[in-house]
Amino acid sequence: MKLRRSTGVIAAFVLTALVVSGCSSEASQAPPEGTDRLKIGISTDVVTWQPLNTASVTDTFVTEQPFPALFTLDAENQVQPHVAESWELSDDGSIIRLKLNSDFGWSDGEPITSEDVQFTLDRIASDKLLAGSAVNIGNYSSSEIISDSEIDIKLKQPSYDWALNLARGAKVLPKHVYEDIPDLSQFNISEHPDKWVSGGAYTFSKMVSGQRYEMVPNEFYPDRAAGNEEIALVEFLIYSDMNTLQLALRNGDIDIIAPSIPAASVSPLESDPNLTVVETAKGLNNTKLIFNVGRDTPLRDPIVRQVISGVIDIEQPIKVVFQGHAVPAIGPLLPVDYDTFQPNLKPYSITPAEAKSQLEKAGYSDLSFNFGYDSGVANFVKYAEIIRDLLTEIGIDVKMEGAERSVTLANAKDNQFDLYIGKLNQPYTPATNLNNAYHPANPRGFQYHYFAEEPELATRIEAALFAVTEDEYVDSVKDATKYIHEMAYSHTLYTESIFVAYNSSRFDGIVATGTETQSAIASNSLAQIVPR
Amino acid sequence: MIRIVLIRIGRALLAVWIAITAAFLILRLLPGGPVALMLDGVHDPQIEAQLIAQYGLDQPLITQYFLFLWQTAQGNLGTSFYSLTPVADILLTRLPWTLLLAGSALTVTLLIGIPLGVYGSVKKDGWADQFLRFFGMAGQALFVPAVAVVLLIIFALNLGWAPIGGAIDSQAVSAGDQFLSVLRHLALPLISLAFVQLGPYALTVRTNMLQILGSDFIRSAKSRGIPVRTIIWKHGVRNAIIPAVTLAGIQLGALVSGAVLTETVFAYPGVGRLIYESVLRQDYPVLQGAFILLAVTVVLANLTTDFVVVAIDPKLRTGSRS
Repeated sequence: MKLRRSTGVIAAFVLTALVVSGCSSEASQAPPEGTDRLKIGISTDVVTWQPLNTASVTDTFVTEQPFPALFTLDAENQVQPHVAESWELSDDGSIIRLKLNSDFGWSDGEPITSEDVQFTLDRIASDKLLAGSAVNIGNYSSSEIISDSEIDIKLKQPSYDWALNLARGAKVLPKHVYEDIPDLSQFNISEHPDKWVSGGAYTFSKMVSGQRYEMVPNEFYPDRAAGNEEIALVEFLIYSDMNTLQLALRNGDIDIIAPSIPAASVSPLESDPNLTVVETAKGLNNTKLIFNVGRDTPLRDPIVRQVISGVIDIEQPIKVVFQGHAVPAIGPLLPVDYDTFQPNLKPYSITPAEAKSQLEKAGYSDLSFNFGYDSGVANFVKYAEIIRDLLTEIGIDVKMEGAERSVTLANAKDNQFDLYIGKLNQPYTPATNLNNAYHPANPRGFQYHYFAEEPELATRIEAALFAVTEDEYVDSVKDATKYIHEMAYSHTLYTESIFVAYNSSRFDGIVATGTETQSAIASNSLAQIVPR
Repeated sequence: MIRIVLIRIGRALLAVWIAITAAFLILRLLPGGPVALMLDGVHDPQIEAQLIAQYGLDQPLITQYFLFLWQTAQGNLGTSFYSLTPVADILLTRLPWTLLLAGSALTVTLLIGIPLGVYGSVKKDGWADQFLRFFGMAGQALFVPAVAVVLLIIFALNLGWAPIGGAIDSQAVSAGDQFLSVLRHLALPLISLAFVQLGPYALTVRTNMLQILGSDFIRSAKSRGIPVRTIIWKHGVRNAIIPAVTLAGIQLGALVSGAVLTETVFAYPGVGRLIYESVLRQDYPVLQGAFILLAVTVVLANLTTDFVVVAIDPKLRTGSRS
């Protein structure tokens, strides 16, 4: 009996050890000693490993590390040279001359050249990669290599905006690594370690799906801050949600949280002496109350839309919902573009009594609208309730139809809502942002506008998209912006700040920019982080 | 006996077929769809149509269903819509972690629950029995994620005794370090899962034991002077264990489904967390494959407990009744 019992215990132990060793990753070299390891927390596993083919922010944190940007954004959201030093548009607006910085190289020792840029644009177009929407690939015609560091990009239709946009979001793929792949949209990088070549600050060394992704420095990356070379390993660790990420940061399990943290979490995290939260108030995003003018409702009348816009206070809700960590918004553009493109726009502002009076004069009473929003986003829920209460005060009945994200998306696409709250990240140029959000033929993001009967809107947006000189561009964007604001197609509620939380007792040099993906975790930004 | 086995196997196959058919239909009834989520608002009708065709979502539902059944019967669980990786490969990397977690939780539940239940029945109304009854009710009332978060805050964040999430530290290189790291990461998820299962399980054992210990044959064994320990373990437990074995099979199903929440809270890289993430993305092939895996696991577990019970109780082999 005793022998059977002890045999059972030993067998259980051996079985456990076998299972555990089967679960654990294969033995690897120990991380480097005497150097530091930067641990970055992300909130979901990376699933889309096709190059430049994901719309997911979380995927982008990791998958686009190897693909350096032509230009980058600084903390003021100003474009800075990176792989490309400069661009110049021809007088007729149809050719962009790009000059590259010859100091940049791929991690296998090959230089980054204009052939790589040509290859990237060609393959984005031919393989229909999702990155194409960021660079308006539809207007790309072809490119001509002038030298290793110079390339002419030819457009189908002249466009100053296209050149500006190239500087905002274009990345580079290594031609010599991917040219033998017939369709990049069907190619999973994670399964091919031989293709782990990077032009960014770090290159993949190990991937454990569902757990972590490890990267080591690309020795051919030229733009590192002094001291950054001490970071010998960057690890992306996967946690399930924002709460767990914050716990992990406070516990020292990670050093940086990749996604922007909610405004409500800023103060609790900052109360920890080891942690710092960097904020940029110049977020490149807008959250809007959208009016569906595609349904046969009084919302087709601009007066109704203007009245609704007028009763919504643009500042008070920000204090309540964001504790001040957001920027009140006016008009359809981003705050960073106000001075240049909408210097004279004034927000709609009327009292509830005036609103009632205007509606009555216009012949409207007993209005009723349904209101869709993603109930999983706390800010949307709070704003929806505030707006409902304001509209109720002026006699408009609002049926709240918050639902889970996929339900909301499906309903919005099926033209089910009168009112809708949606947030759009807008890291692009002003004209492209207007095009993405308002062009009748291009409903985008959560903002399924239906402007099929609005040719005037399309004309003004296209004038901005295809302006050839800078002056024409500024004037046409101003014109389109003014028109959209006067017609009150949507009411911009706020621009969220981007917050980067990190362990400041271990690292320094973290910068927050206008979007999560181009912020502290962007490849070029990682190269500026230094251990304390 | 053979007839009993065949009937049970037939029922098991029917249960698996119903489960995977339900999973197939429910996924396709979800609003939105994987392509809409994948594009996340990027409006390109051409790409959208291409993806829908690539994933076969433009086919009639009945065609998709029979294709799915045919592929599953051949052992082909399809390819993830997102990663383009075979679903079987994805599940194989995640399954060991869930087996470790659920298996450990079940082992702990059995190893502690049976003796605890027996002790509670023998020391009826004593302090141990009262604690057991309270613990059992608490376990039934508690929600696994709530327990998990409390454990995280107390033992991981405040005391620093355990990591916040993950399954193994990348800095563990030697086999010994890896073993200890895995155990350290397993501790809190295991306690979370076992905590809510253990009490109800021990209560069931206790209840069954009390019934058995009150039986005539136990009284007659006592009157014949058989030692109390022998009466309890040889006669009492052996008879009371039958419902407990059946319950263990059912509990495995509860543990596996509980693992979805536990793995998500603890960022444990098992099938449970894979299901959670795939639901958010509506990655149909991964979800279908995972549901098939879970259905087969639970059905096999129940089938196994059925056969174990038959092996323990001779009366069940011939179908005779006491």
